[in-house]
Amino acid sequence: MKKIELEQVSKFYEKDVPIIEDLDLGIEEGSFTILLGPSGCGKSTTLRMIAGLEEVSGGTLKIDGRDMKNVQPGDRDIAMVFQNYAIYPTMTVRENIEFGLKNAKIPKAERRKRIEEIGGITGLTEYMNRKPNALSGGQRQRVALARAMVKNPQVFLMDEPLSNLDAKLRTQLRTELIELHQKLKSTFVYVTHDQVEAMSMGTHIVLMRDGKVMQQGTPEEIYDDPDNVFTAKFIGTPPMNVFRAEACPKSWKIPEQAHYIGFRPEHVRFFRPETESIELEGRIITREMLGAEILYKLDTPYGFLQARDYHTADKHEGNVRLWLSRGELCFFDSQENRIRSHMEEY
Amino acid sequence: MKKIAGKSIRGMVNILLILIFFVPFYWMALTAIKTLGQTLQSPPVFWVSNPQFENFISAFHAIDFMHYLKNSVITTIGVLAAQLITIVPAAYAFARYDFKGKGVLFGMVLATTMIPAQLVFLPVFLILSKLHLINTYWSLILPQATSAFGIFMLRQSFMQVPKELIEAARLDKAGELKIMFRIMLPMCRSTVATLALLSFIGCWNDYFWAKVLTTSDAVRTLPVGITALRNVDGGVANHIVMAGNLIMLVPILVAFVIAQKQILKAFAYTGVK
Ligand SMILES: Nc1ncnc2c1ncn2[C@@H]1O[C@H](COP(=O)(O)OP(=O)(O)O)[C@@H](O)[C@H]1O
Ligand SMILES: [Mg+2]
Repeated sequence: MKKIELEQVSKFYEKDVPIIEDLDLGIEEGSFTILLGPSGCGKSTTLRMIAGLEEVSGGTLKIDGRDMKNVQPGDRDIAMVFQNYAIYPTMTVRENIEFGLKNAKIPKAERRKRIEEIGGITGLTEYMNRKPNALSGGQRQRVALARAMVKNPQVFLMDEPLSNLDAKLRTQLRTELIELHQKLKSTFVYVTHDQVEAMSMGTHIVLMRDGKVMQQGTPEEIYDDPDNVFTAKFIGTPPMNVFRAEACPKSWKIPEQAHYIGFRPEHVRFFRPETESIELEGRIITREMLGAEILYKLDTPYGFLQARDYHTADKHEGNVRLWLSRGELCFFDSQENRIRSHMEEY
Repeated sequence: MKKIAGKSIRGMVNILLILIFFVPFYWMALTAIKTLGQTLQSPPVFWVSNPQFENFISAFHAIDFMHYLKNSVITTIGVLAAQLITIVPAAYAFARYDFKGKGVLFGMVLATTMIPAQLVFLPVFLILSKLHLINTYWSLILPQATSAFGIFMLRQSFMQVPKELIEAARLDKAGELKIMFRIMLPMCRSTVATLALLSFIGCWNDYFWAKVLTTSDAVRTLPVGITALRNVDGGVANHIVMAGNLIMLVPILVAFVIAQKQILKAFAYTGVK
């Protein structure tokens, strides 16, 4: 069932300058949906419209099938976690968590019970009487999470909540958020520009550019089956290799409309595969040892490419032969959109 | 060499500034403990060896000190309360809302700081007398019930509060009043303390409005009452007047000591220090 629906939604801050135009989006109940995209593409704006912090300029936004046009942020049964935490600096941790409950007129005994419980979950029990300025960044973000969770909302909205934390804490909180989602079973809408974060946390990814949805689907769909060059290049570390078709030899039998050819770094092989394949030569420029795997950057007659190999006894150096399995190639047309009709032919 | 010269010039300027502020105060305090004869002596004396502390008792008894004190307290509390009610929402609206005519309105608010009280007291008097409010506490409270300077200062502080905090409060079902008084005001407490102190001093020491808008002693405040002390010894009792002034100063000193930390913070924050 759709929890949140955006139909033909648009957003203008100034006349004639659409930030978001005719956006159609459905967010499944209980999903962990990620709004992903480069900085400035309108992710936060979309999230803030869902929260009711930003007016919808055109189209309709529904939560639980109900038009949210005249519903105040506080009445939407949502909670939001901000990038800069936005916890009340003059209140203690407990007061921060309690503020929303008090405003919702929840009785004192119930408040105390809920705060205790949340304190346990977020590990804040011993910091309840501290002011935010006596907390670390990670602890502050936990306060923000606790403040959101304690309200038992149907929907959690999070705008880059981990981006102010250091790498280690970020990975840790990432796991905690996944666990939290599984435990609460509520709908999470999470904004990030970090595709690793998106891939690792989301059950559903919405990839945006310039206020438009470029592709949406599960992380697997988005990774394995990109709809366009943008998606192919945005997702994956390193991203998909994309060659211009005109630079490639006739012998590769590229479909006529194709302007671009893409393939994932892990699909570049240093040995001939059993399936039908293309052979090319390249020179290794750099080699990065990442532990279980090794990344190569290579120069070929058709452009640079990146290859990912498992960490084995073979060490590739200098000029090498490479193979691409034909079935793993993606073709894109002049508009950079995926050509799918040719898949069966080849 | 240059450095030393610069330093000594700065030192001298500082000493001069201290003198400018300190000398009148010293003169007041000194006069308050002089005898009548010493106050009239020429050349003036700058030190007394026989301080007349009973001047304070005289000052206290020569007029109905408690009566004026009560009026001062009521007026001051009234003004401060009225300013809290009027300044905070105005500052919040100017800082956080976009509405038609906001620029013009704000310009008008600022412009009022440039109109001297002497120019408006007559219309104010006429209005208040039409409303039959002359010689009531209202006549002393209403003319000072808001402060353009306060609105301006608080607006500047409110603009520093990150908008996410207000949004978070909105998501927490807080209404505008709660956002103003529970979130914004505590965050701007150093500005609030500074403004409160300035208003307190202004109101506590106010002579002009208290004199102009009253015709009887019923609601007159200390600054007006104290001028009557001059008549104690046949119209020249400056020492008693100064003793009275010194007593009147005590609450201001106390308030300043209490608010000092917050005020210094406010100036450090705005970079005026
Ligand atoms: N209050 C605003 N007024 C005008 N333009 C804005 C405002 N907020 C955001 N924008 C513009 O809208 C676009 C999308 O912003 P945003 O949704 O914050 O992007 P993202 O979160 O994806 O980085 C940006 O080009 C930004 O400059
Ligand atoms: Mg953003």
